[in-house]
Amino acid sequence: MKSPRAFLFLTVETQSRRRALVVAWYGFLIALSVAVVLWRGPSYLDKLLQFAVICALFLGGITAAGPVRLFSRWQRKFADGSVYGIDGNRPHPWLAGRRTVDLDRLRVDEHDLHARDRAHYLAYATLRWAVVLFSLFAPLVIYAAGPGAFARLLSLLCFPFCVLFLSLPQAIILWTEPDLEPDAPAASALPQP
Amino acid sequence: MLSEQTHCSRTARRRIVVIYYAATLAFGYCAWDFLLHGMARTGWSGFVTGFFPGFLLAWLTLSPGLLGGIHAGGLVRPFSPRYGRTAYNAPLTELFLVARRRHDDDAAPADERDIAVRDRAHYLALSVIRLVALLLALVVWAAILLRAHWLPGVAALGCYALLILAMTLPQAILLWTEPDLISDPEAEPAPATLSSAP
Repeated sequence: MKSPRAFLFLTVETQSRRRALVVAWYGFLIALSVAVVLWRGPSYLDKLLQFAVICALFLGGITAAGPVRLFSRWQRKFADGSVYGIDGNRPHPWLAGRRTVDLDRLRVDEHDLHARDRAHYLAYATLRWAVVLFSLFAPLVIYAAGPGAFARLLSLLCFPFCVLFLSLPQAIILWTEPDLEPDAPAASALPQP
Repeated sequence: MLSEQTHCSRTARRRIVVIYYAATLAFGYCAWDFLLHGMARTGWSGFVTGFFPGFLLAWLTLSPGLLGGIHAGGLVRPFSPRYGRTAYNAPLTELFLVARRRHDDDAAPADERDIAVRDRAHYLALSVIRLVALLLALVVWAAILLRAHWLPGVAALGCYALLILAMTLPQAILLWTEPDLISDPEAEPAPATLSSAP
């Protein structure tokens, strides 16, 4: 599922760099959430939390920008310059046939689809219990705290939660995808005895 | 991917999914209405409009034996062997005699096709839930900016909608999309012919 792209300005070609990106990303998110909670959320930290939601889109998967390839077939067809994703052979009237992204980054094979579905299964199995905890505790807090305090708490919880939904499958793909072995040299390139 | 006990056709399975979500929606609305407006109601009116629908909603959402997937014994096989063992051996289920039936045939997906179908259903489900979560975050953000008084009620409803979707959507997708099993023609008795009739 790896494509030769980078997260913002960081290239993530090797597995170690991809894992470092995942650790740094979630470390940043946890540190930011803890800071907002501990310091009662100064306004600029709240803005930073909302900015993290936008940054999650740059991991790819649900957008064409990022190290993970587009998940959705419809999105891939839309991004290849066709007419609203209907027919890949017809040029988009506004783009006059120009591709919005490089076609090599849109191609997926069976292995990519398998990795995508597997990552979503693992992410779902994790997020299911996070949703259960969130849903059971949130209504209790509504009536224990006042509406103002509840709105404050919800604003703190909602955005990290949203980031998890937007980024966890991509993080699993980045973490588990192995490095590609270099191609074996062609027979003609080998030294002849 | 369907359980061995699920002998119904795809049409029947789709009806079950529709009835399940309609019942969940109805009970959820009753419980939500009670939480918002009916806290002062007591006695039978409070029980009928609030507690009872809330209890049914929780049972529909968390009951192990309905749609399956995260427990053995439902319409869908357990997604993981771990979930299947939990249904047999958990002390609470043994204590309350919930899982008296042995679900020995409810094995977790074993072949490639089952695993692929399970993963694909989770991909579709997470694609939907991702949109719901994003929408919920936008609504909360807008409500906080507007200082809307309806935020607690809508947030509670959104949380429960997210909970129900998270617990049941992959199972519903599997029940909706799995084709009917074609019976093995060799297993059926050969039809009687005129020449073989006495």
